[in-house]
Amino acid sequence: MTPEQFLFHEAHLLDTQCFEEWLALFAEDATYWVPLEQGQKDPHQTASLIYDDRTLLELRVKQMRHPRAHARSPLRAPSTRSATSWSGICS
Amino acid sequence: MGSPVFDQYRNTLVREHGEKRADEILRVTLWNTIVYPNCSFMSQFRQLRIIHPLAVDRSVVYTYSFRIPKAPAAMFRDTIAFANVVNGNGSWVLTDDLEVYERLQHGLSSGEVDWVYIGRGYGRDVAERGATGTSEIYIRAQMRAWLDYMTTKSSS
Repeated sequence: MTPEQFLFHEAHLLDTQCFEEWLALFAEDATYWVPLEQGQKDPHQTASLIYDDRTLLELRVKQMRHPRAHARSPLRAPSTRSATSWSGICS
Repeated sequence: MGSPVFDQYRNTLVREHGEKRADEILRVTLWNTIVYPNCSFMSQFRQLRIIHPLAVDRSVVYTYSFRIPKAPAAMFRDTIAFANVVNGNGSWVLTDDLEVYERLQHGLSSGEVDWVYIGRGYGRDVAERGATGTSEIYIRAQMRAWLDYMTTKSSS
């Protein structure tokens, strides 16, 4: 699989809500980081949108499947959707 | 609570305040504290939230994370980790709460509901310890405070 194919595969798993398969792409010592500030260097001294280790990522996926995870079925939208944007991929 | 970070914090407290006072401080285990009208405190996790109303159906919630002076540096890492998971925009705790609030707001604006039930825990509330986690005493207390402000004549 080329890096480009891998990225398409990952996005497809999210788009089709195959969260468990998506989770399986991550190594045991993976960190999933969505910084809060532009150019944020440190995830420990200031808050992030997401800063998950593998355990937290697993809990996040479990939470998404929970019938009472209300944020996953918002009142003002038909369902949760994912969006992906790439640029400058070289393989 | 017996982690190396916590032990280190406890030792610092004992050094600064003595064994007895350190115990008193650490025995306080409140989950949420409301300071009327719009300040919410999670002291155990070093989080403070200010609920800033913009309109009847719109509020901004500001979250502040506290660094305790002289506490071990690792404690602040835990504070930030807690903020991310519980209070942040990408959290999986507050996001569900906010969705619930929005649906409640939506339901109430229909005008079909005359009463909002805030009686959970009524009659079982105790002054300090042992109250059930789902008691709505804090909502009743807020309503009472509001009623006081609205009906008590100003002395000035």
